[in-house]
Amino acid sequence: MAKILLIEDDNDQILLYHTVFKMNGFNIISAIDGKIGLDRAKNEHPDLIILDLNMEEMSGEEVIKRLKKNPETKNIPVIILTNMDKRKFQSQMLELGAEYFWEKTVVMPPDVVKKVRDFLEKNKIK
Amino acid sequence: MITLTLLLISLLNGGLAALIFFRGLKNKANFFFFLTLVATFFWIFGLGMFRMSSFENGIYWATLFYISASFCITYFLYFALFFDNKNIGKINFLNHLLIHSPNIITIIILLANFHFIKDYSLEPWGKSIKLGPAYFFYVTHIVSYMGYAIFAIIKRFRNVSGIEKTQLKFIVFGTITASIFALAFNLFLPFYTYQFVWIGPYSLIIMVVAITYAITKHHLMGIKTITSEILVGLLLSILFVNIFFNDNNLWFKIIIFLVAILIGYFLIRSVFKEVRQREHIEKLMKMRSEFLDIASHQLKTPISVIMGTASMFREGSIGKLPKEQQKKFVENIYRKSVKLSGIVRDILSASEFDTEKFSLPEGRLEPVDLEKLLIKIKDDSKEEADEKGLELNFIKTRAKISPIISDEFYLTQAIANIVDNAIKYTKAGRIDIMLDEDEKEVIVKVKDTGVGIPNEDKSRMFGKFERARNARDMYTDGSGLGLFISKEIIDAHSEASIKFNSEENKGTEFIITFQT
Repeated sequence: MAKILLIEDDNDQILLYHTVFKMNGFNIISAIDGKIGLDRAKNEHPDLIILDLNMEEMSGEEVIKRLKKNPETKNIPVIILTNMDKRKFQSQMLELGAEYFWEKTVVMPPDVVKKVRDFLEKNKIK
Repeated sequence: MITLTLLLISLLNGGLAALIFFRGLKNKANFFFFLTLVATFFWIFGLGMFRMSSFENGIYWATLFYISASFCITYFLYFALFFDNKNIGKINFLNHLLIHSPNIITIIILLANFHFIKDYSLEPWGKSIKLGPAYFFYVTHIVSYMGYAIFAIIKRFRNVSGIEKTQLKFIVFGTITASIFALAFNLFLPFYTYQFVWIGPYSLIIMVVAITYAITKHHLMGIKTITSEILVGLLLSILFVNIFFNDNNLWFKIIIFLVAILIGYFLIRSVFKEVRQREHIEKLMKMRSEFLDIASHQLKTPISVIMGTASMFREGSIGKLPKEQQKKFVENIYRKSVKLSGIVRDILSASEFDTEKFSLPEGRLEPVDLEKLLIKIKDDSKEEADEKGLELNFIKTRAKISPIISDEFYLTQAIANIVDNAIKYTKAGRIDIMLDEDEKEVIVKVKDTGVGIPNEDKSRMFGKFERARNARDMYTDGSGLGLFISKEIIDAHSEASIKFNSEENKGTEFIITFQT
């Protein structure tokens, strides 16, 4: 089963996504800030990363830049899931190499799972 | 003609000094640049008068311009030092005295006629001064101070980049060129002949033009202000020069000149006021749009959890979970709703305070038991503190505390904001909420071991939408409203105050007092 890494600094969000992904048979791990997220991406080889943008220690923007710079992690697809304004940040994030830009108040957790599954199937990841 | 030009140049300098003065002596570098220009004004004015005055009086004007030049260089050095490093700290009296010692010595040797001016004579081209051995001291002072100042300016210039560099380019170029010219014609050439002593000040035109160009080109000030200043400057120059043209009605002309200064002053001031107001409005507009960004993001954060959880209930997936886990989700929805209502309350309060000076609702004022109120705030914040591993204490140092007249809702908001901040901006350690009373007042203190408030941000911490630099870095989505609201509420009490002590990386202590 595909392994998903969620980089997100809000515990309530983590609980929400852990529950919904696990119930749908995914293996989900999470990181509470950007630095831990980079480490886990390197060490645990997830199939997909779901990344928040607004985080205290290291912003999501910085995380994706570093992920895409590192040969070990640059091929892992990244999806942005955030409360930041889509109109302002989407194009920048896609340019940095993100696959999609989803707003948390628009794409609900069950839909996130569905869309992730479609994406993985389309790209023949596990 | 040369003399008149000199007087004009001195006025130009005076004008530039006035410009900087009006613009506000915001920092020490500005202040000392202003003093440098004032001293320069006296120097060139003295030089002009030296040429124009009678032979007997010339020597006094010479004394004036030598002393002025000495001060000019000293303030230029100060300017360069503060320009290079804003955080140079406080200079104590002894250091000031030390930096000023060459000026004092120059004054003494000039006034005591101690081998500075060896000979004073009238040559076919004008008054001439032969300089004595004490002049070497003067030269050393000027050259060393000037050298060090230029070194500091260039050092700073190399370290800046971007728009600041383009702004500085003209100022640095103008100032250094003028300084070198002045050194050559006014310091070294007089060893041989005094004939060309008037050339130095002309180079100051380069400086004035360069600085004015830098100012206008980069819109450092509104064009309206510049125009009014140029007009006033022109008018004053004409009136000033007119005073010296012939001796008729001398006093009348001086009075006209003084009146013109006064009118010019008020004119420029009113234009400035208008420009400032416009700048203020622009700043408010910018703050407003930033606030909307922040507010919408802050509102979305709890909403996304509430919506997400509800969507999972609706879809049926949470229903499959054990009862205990389901309860946790309901609890999350509840907590985020509380947070959401708090944010909405802050935003509403802020706009309420916006329109008029806030006052507590008269009908609802009653004696409030601070102990009960603080314990409630502590209990409400406990979960957040626990999550971050912070110790949160309520400490009462007296058995009985007098009740204070207030409104419980607003007072809770005011103090809860401060406790919230303490938790938000403390990474490790503790937060103490303390309650005490002495003969005059009840004192509430909230003390944390957090990141502290940097010195440069302290003065604006209670302002609307204001956030400290380190707070921005740490926690990007604060609204900058918490302390503003707290202060408005505390100030609305009769005889109450709020202040803080803080040291960066050590912690902050807020002190709220209510007179009993």
